[in-house]
Amino acid sequence: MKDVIDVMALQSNRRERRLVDYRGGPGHSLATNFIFECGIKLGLQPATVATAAIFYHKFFKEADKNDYDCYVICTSCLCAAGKSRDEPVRLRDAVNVAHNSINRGAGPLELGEEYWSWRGAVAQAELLVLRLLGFNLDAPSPHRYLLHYLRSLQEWFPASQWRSAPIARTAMGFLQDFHHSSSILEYRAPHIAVACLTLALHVLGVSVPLAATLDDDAAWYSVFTKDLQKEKNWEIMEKIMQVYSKEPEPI
Amino acid sequence: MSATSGSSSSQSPPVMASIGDVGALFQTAKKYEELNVIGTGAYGTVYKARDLHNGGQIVAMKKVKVALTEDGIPLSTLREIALLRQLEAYRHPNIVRLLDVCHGGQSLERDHQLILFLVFEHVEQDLDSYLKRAPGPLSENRIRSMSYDILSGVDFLHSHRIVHRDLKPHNLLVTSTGRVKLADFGLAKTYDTEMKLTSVVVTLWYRPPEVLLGISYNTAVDVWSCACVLAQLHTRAPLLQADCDSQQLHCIFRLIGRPPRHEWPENVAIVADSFPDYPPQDLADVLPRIHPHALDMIKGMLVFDPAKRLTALDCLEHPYFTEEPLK
Ligand SMILES: Nc1ncnc2c1ncn2[C@@H]1O[C@H](COP(=O)(O)OP(=O)(O)O)[C@@H](O)[C@H]1O
Ligand SMILES: [Mg+2]
Repeated sequence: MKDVIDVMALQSNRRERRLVDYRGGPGHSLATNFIFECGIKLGLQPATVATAAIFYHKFFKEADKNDYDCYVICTSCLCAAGKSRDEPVRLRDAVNVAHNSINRGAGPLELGEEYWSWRGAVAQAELLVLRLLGFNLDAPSPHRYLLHYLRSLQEWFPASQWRSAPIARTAMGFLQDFHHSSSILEYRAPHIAVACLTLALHVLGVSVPLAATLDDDAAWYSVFTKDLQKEKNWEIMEKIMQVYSKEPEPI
Repeated sequence: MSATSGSSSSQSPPVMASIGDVGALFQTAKKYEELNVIGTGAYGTVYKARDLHNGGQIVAMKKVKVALTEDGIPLSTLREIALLRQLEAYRHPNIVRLLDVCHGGQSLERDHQLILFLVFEHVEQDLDSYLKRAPGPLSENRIRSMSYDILSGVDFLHSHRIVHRDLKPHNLLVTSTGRVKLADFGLAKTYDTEMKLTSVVVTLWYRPPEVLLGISYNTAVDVWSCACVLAQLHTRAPLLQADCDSQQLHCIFRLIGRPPRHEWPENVAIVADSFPDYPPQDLADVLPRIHPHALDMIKGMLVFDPAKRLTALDCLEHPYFTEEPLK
């Protein structure tokens, strides 16, 4: 379990490191950090920001990372995700937030050439993202599954035990952070939700009440999702943990 | 950590050029070779085209003009197209396949317009031309199976909370094996905000009274339109033909009778008394030789009060379809 505990430490470390210098990061290494920071500043729901990250990963599954400006694409993914989830952001706000995150302390962008070139680029990029995704914008949200599972799980626990361990917050943290990895595209939403939950329970050293009374083969989460094998669950958990050991991508 | 920094990300501001090299991607229309115009509706032109990346497969490509807003592509358009894509996952047999969505880019963006290309499977003909070409009356079996196809498609849309709003023979496609597929739906909001592409007049013949009276409406509108189409399958002529809103209402009331005053909706500009007290006609006289079950079902669909109309699902479960298996 030692490994896993370390992950927990990393999870919080990562949070503290969030005020990053986007100009310093090589290539796309900070792309998803940028999406999360701007998304939060724009007041978007976590699931919408996560959708933007999914759009970003999908886009670069098709396109070459060297061909596009990382932060322009990220900003346009936030715009497209906002519209697709009925939480639109003004292009103008998106551009300003993006600019201020890259140029910390620079103040608002004047309505000059730089502003208009940014704005034009983001508007174009949004169309490009839509094109490359073929308008397939339906990102099944693991957040919804996780919230639902958490609600059910809570009923199985004695109230005091549930309160003593931050299960929900930890699992949500893993889910959010998993969006930094493009491997999130490889798994189905309910499976991702279960893996985040399982990982949180492991990390916190909590076991599910009554789990021991189940058949050997049946995992406690089989009530949530029938078709998740234990091996698959471990595989997803490993992918989540890799987020915390990820070296910035060489480009 | 790698020390190389190839992308322009590390330097701001990002330049237009970095995103300007996307010409190739935006030249999506080049993936398809336009052959000829097959339909001009009120909002779009439909071309027969060849899919050059797919062995020259013949497709139907619909061009729709979208006005870009200050914030780019309108939210309603984005959501409508995303929903069409989502529906596509069900591959419903009575819905025309949507194969691809693409758009022209760059230069068009300058005049704040975007041309969207919706690429559909190509279907032999629409129901309008099918009926016009039919050498004689359709067989009872053919009518029944076409009716079922149409209602299945409508029920599918309704179960996904989509109202077609414009069901009519021109928007129903007939395959070479005689199956019917619904087309031309799901872009109502995109169209609403958009100037028409052509001056084609929108036909009123399939409009239900609540739409003609200008009050809010729901899925029941499609059931009314279906009834008009189903009746037309029997006679090969439109059931209710008029050329303006008020004449269309007269036409409707001459058939189903003027509704009693207590059924007349509130807050409508037109009062019930502006129509003569038409008595209802017997639908059997209008649709001679029709199967009694079909007659009963269509009667249940042509009801003034939308809440009392059969639903598409009710129709699918009607004895007209259930009593004998469909061939
Ligand atoms: N997939 C298709 N295959 C063959 N013909 C089609 C197809 N889609 C549309 N058409 C023809 O083009 C016409 C106009 O298309 P439609 O989608 O109804 O556009 P509009 O919104 O302009 O009415 C239809 O009435 C039909 O005749
Ligand atoms: Mg049409």
